[in-house]
Amino acid sequence: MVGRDRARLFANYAALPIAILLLWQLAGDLGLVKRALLPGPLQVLATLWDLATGASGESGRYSGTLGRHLTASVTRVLAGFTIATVLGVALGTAIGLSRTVERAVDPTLQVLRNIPITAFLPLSILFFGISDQPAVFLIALGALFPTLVNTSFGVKEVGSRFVRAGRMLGVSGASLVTRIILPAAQPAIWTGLRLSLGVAWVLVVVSELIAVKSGLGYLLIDAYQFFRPDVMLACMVTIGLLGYLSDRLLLAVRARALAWNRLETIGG
Amino acid sequence: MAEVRLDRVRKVFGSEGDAVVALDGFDLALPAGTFTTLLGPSGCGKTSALDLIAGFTKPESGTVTVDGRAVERPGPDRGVVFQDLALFPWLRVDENIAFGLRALPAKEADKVKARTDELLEAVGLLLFRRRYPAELSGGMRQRVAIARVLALDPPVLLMDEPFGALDAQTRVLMQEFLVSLWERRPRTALFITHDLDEAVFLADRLCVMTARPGRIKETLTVDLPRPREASIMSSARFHELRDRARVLVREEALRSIQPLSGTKA
Ligand SMILES: Nc1ncnc2c1ncn2[C@@H]1O[C@H](COP(=O)(O)OP(=O)(O)OP(=O)(O)O)[C@@H](O)[C@H]1O
Ligand SMILES: [Mg+2]
Repeated sequence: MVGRDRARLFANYAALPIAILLLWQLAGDLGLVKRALLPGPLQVLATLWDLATGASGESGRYSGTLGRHLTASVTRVLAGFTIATVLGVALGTAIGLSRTVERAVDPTLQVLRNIPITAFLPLSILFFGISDQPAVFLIALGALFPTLVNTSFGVKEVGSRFVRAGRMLGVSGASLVTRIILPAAQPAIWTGLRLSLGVAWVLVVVSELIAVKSGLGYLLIDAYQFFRPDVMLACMVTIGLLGYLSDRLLLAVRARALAWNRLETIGG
Repeated sequence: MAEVRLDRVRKVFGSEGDAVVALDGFDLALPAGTFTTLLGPSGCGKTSALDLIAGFTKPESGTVTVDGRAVERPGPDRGVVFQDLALFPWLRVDENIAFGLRALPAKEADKVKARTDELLEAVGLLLFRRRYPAELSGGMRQRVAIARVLALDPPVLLMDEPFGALDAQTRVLMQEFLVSLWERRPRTALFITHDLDEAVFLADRLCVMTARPGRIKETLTVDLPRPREASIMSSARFHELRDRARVLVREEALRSIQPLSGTKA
């Protein structure tokens, strides 16, 4: 019984990925696409293995460099995402709490938000030069908005009843924000953080294509220039997996922080 | 113990064109250490009066005082049990109860713990201390809301239809529970309700309000003996008081549903 359930669950999860891998492999085998342009999954796996370990030399000049690039990208994502979280929650809270602050900053933010983040890239390279900084800047800026918008929305939605209850129980000033408003706004804030993390992964690759000489985005564009589609694909797979893993991690933390909210919405 | 007074209070909602006069020339005194219940037709201004004492709102004119001092803002000296409870859903039962204790200046951890345990025991929720409010029954939530407020040992206790959402059986149990809590440690209390039995059973004084704009129409002294048990609800005196209250409330309820009555443009 349990074994069968587990097998069914596995099939449920694995069916689509396996189908995609098969199609990918067959497309080359049947000559639908040129192998030189689209190496098969086994080839990509071999390249990825060599990229990571440097064991076989399969990926040539890139052999064993994955760790370095991966660390560079992850560090940038973490830096940008952290800055975006701190600023987004702080500014979002201020906007949510005060109409005065909202009127003062909202028009500016709305205009900024409507400029595609990638449009900031050339300027930030001019400003910071080819280095970590334009990448982190871009990630922080792009990841700022989802957290900020969701936080201000969540803070505005906090029922006055909770604030009243808090004040009645002797809480005032800044503690009202930390003990009532932010906890109550948590569901919306987590939604913002999740979107921000997704944006951060997009932007780290985009910025590494041009603004820095390391990271998975740089590896990708470099492999393009040296015509190594297998390295490009290995790189894309890595980016996809990393984004997926970081999202799962965030969801796990969120599930712990919001255990009460699940009860509210489903159980209660 | 604290005496609460509202004198010549006027409370208006909205502005100019669509202003609603909730209270006008409203006088109410809650003598120190007595339990007052407040009855009146829907929309007559009961919650408005309670909010003024709690310090959530301010009157357009008149004074609201506790022991002669004007009420400026909400504070832990006036505990409020809300109609919708407003328990903090992100905190567990014991954290909800200890919430106000942590705001106090002397927040020694073991003292907070001891006080929380005492309250959990008093409201019979020791076994549910690590649950979230969403995991409790309606009656249990009520008890958490009461314990959260009692934690601060407020001299004034304000309750706005706290048992309104409960089924009849649980409701009677909660009434007995509240009476025994209060009799053990009497404090100045105001309790809003639409339930006549409840209003008589709990009260030292029972106030009936007029239709909006609300004023106190009449105050009955409930001279039933204490300590009270549910059995008192079958006594002749209880019925007498309840019937008197029923007549008063009905008069005002009729007035309040007649179009244009009680409204001042
Ligand atoms: N925030 C508000 N804004 C506008 N009008 C309000 C507000 N609060 C109360 N009122 C109005 O003031 C009047 C008195 O309201 P209040 O809530 O005090 O009545 P109540 O006696 O508590 O009624 P109920 O028994 O239905 O709870 C009502 O006509 C109501 O519509
Ligand atoms: Mg009311």
